[in-house]
Amino acid sequence: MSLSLPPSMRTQEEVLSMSPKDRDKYMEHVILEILRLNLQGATIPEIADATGLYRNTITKHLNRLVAIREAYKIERGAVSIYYKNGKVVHARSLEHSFANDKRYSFFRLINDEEKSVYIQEKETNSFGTIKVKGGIIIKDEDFLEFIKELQKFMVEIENIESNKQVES
Amino acid sequence: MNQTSKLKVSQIDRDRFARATKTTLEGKEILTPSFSPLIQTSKELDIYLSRILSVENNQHLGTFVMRIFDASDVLLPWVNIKNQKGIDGEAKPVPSLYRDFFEKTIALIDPATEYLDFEFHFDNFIRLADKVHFPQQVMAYLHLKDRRKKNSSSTDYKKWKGQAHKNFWYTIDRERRRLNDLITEYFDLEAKFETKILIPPMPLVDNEGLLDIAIRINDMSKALAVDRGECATYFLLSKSTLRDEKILRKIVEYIKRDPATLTIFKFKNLTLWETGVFTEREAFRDLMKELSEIKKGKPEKLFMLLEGSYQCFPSASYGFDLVSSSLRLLDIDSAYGQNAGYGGYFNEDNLWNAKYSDIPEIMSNNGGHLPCPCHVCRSITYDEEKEEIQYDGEKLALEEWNDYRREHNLFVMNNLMKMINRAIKEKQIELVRQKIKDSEIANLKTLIPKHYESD
Repeated sequence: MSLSLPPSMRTQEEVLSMSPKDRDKYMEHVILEILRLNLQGATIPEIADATGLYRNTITKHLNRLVAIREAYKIERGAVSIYYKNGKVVHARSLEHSFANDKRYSFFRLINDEEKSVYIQEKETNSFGTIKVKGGIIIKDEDFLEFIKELQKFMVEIENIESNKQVES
Repeated sequence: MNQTSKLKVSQIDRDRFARATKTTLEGKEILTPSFSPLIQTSKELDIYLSRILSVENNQHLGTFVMRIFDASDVLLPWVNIKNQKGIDGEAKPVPSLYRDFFEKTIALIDPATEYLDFEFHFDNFIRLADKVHFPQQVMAYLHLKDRRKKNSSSTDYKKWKGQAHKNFWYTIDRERRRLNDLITEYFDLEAKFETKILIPPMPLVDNEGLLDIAIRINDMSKALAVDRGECATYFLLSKSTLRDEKILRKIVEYIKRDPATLTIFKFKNLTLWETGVFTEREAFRDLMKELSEIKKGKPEKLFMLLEGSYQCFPSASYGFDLVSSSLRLLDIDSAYGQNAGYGGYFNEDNLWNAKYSDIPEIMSNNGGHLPCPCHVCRSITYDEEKEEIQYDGEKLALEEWNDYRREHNLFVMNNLMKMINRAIKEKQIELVRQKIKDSEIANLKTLIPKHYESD
């Protein structure tokens, strides 16, 4: 099945004429748009066939999109299918509450089979726009356990650090 | 993935061909129809700031436009002051007028590329290039023009200039890397002024070839604006394009499939209120009709008219959501501040700049007052013995008047936008046509439909 492509896609010649930095940003944007338009998911060969982009380039961008949780990957046998992360039904941002102009956004994420909380770490870049630096998705059923573990971890760290201070 | 600021448009009211929206960008709110003044000097920015931060209603003035060569002198110092985070003894941020101002307004930086063709602002470009990084290929072209102007006869220069302007854009279009560099250099410069809406550099379109380039620039700009900000689609058009049905049709077809939220039009030197421009007036009305139809199907789209002059009021009632004009409400290049006389008085009833010398007559026809409740007009009196117009009992000096009338104009334009908004809410948009019919720009009544199918 052929993929739906964003209407504003540029030709290969135009993409190649961009500066490397702009090209990277543009390609990531286009790949995410393709995942958004193709809810049934897309594989790397499908995206390569539809766009003419190199597979390595697509893989690099998809890996980053998965790392920042904008997309997720499901392995079906030897094939990896990529999906845009689910529907955000509620969003809240903690802006400028942290040092170094860091922001954290919390999202309620509903995928086909599960509900989760999605946390993004963001920074403001030199253009004043917000760049996502990383992300984590925690399923509803794991959430309380996750918080307990986090608290336990923080207590452990504090104990270790205070013991070290006493020793020194 | 990087996220950019997005314009979000919600239609709040509609009456036949007109609509009102609440548009937001990063928590800032614009109520349309809205007037965006073109700010050209520090004094004008001061006037606009005091208007925006005043307690009076100014909901329809939330955006302003500044040309790129004015921005380095006028806006950049303000942006720098705004970014200084002062704290008091208890480490709490000190309130700042400038921060409050930027939190309430949205700035649009006009690349003003028509002045690569017209010479009027040549010195301003040179000044800009001294202060910030300005696209090298543009500067090289401007210097070439300057040299040519100095070394050839005016007839030769005129002949050469027209073709050189076209060649400049055709060459850039042929070499994609140069085109990309031009767009990104302009975007980076606009970003310096902290605008969140990016407007790409455009050729002044007067033929189909240049229109194709404009369309390609609009397409490329969207790709290059990823991670930089919201990119507007922009058409900078010569008045003569209103006589070219093919060009207008192509623009409308493009807008229909264009994903941009904001589309900006600028028709250079548009004076549709004059006689002898019947065809242009009809074409402008047809364009507004198309824009209105597009908005019906895609209510998330927003249209803006730059340099609207006296066309601002009718345009804001029909095809355009945002309209812009200089604070004189007339967009003609002039040497303001050098040999300027007493500027006209914009009369809300006539939708026209009356001559300064007519103020006594306007006052006598209006019971001794100016027909406007703004604080400027309330302070103006006429001393019949001395035969002089006074402000707070003192003779009105030329420079003061030219500042005061700008304050008054902002008040009037906000009022006019409010008037359209109210007419839409009360489903009486036909009153707009009546108002134009009763004004000095009665010619423009044909821009507004007489009969329009109700939804």
